[in-house]
Amino acid sequence: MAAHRPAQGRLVCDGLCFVVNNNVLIDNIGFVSEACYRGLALLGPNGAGKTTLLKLCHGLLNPSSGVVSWDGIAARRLLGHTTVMVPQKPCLLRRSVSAQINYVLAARHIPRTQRAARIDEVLATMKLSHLSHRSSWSLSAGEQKRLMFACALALKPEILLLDEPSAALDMQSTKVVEQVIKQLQVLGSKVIITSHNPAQVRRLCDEVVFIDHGRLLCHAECEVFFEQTTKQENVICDFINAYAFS
Amino acid sequence: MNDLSAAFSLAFHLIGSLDADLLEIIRLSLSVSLTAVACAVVLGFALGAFLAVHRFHGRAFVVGMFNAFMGLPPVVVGLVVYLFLSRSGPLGMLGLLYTPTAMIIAQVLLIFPIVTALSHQLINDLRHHYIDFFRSLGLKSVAIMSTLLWEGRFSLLTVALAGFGRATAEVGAVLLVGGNIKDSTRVMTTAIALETSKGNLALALALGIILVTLSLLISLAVQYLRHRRETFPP
Repeated sequence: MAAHRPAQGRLVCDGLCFVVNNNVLIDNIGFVSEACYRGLALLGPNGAGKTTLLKLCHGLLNPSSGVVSWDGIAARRLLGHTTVMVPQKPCLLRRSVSAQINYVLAARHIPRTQRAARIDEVLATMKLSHLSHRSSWSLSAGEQKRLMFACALALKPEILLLDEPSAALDMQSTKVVEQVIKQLQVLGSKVIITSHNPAQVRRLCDEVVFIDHGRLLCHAECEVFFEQTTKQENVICDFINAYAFS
Repeated sequence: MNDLSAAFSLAFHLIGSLDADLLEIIRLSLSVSLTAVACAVVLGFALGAFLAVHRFHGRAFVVGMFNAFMGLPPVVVGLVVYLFLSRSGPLGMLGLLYTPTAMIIAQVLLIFPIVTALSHQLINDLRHHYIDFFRSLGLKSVAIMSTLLWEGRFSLLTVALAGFGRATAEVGAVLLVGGNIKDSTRVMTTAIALETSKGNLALALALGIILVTLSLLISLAVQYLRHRRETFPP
């Protein structure tokens, strides 16, 4: 397993295509996210292909053609090792909150002796300690989302992929999640997020990939992306202006 | 109407007096059906989970066959088992014909496709919901199957109940391979058939009432268990 661990977190997408039933969801996307960048945002309007691209980066989907790799290792080979993804909709088993985290840790072969401490730690971090014995199915949507983060956090991921991290979260929970993401970045984890919230992107990311209809329209540093609106394509201008308007 | 009232009074009388013959028939019925359900559930749940989790060439055909076999005619199953277990059949040397074991084999063959097809459908739906989560964790197929079986445990109880219902209601196959021998292979359904043919409608109805009551009680027990677990999970 150690051989699979990327040392730096350099993401390379080269000629990436993903086609389902003749529908081109990802169309020849190519970019390199250098290891020095700890936060990458995938932006774009609804249906642009952000989640599909995120799954390709995670290795959950096999590209129809092209390559997606982390430090030269195909993303698919890292699945179940160093990459962890938190989906937009919580996907929880029918068991208690602490048992859910325990399941995830057991699946990743974390020794039993380390699990209790990790569970307590992440529950405290995500402010879920008081719910540890509750069924995960009985939690609110926001609490379920925080539990998904707790599960991801417990695995101490080197690469964390977040699909709409603030969806279903209130302001306070969003703040907690963002603090956790920043801590992970400080500790050396690379974070990729899809988001409709440019303010959050500016807080968490240092580079942006903007896609529309599965095609790459822009790859730039975060500040450059948001400041050079006049040079951007119409769809990007609309996206940024909508943010400014809101 | 007289038959019905007589049947009810006879049923209560038989139960109240703990009639030895009746108790033996009930014991054998439950013993045969529960054993058959247990065998079918162990095999059917495992195969259903396997078919739901694994993707291989010809899988759709196998699933289609099990769906089709859900409606197997009991008499045909009984006839096939009879041919296999009769003295001139390939398994004749085992001497199982007209024994409770033969009845269990026939019932397993009837229930197994039902349990397999229904559990496959149920676990396949769960798989669609959880598959990204499992693959993200790097789980192997055996771990995925066991988790899905555990996650679907309450719905699978209903599948087992459907199998039990089919087993207890079945008469054609057990009559052929069991022979309806008193104190040996006589179960409630074959006893009802026999008493009806003899014109003893009151006793047949009484046995029917007891059979329906038993099925209802087991259904209610499973329903209660499901409700209790769903209300107070996990």
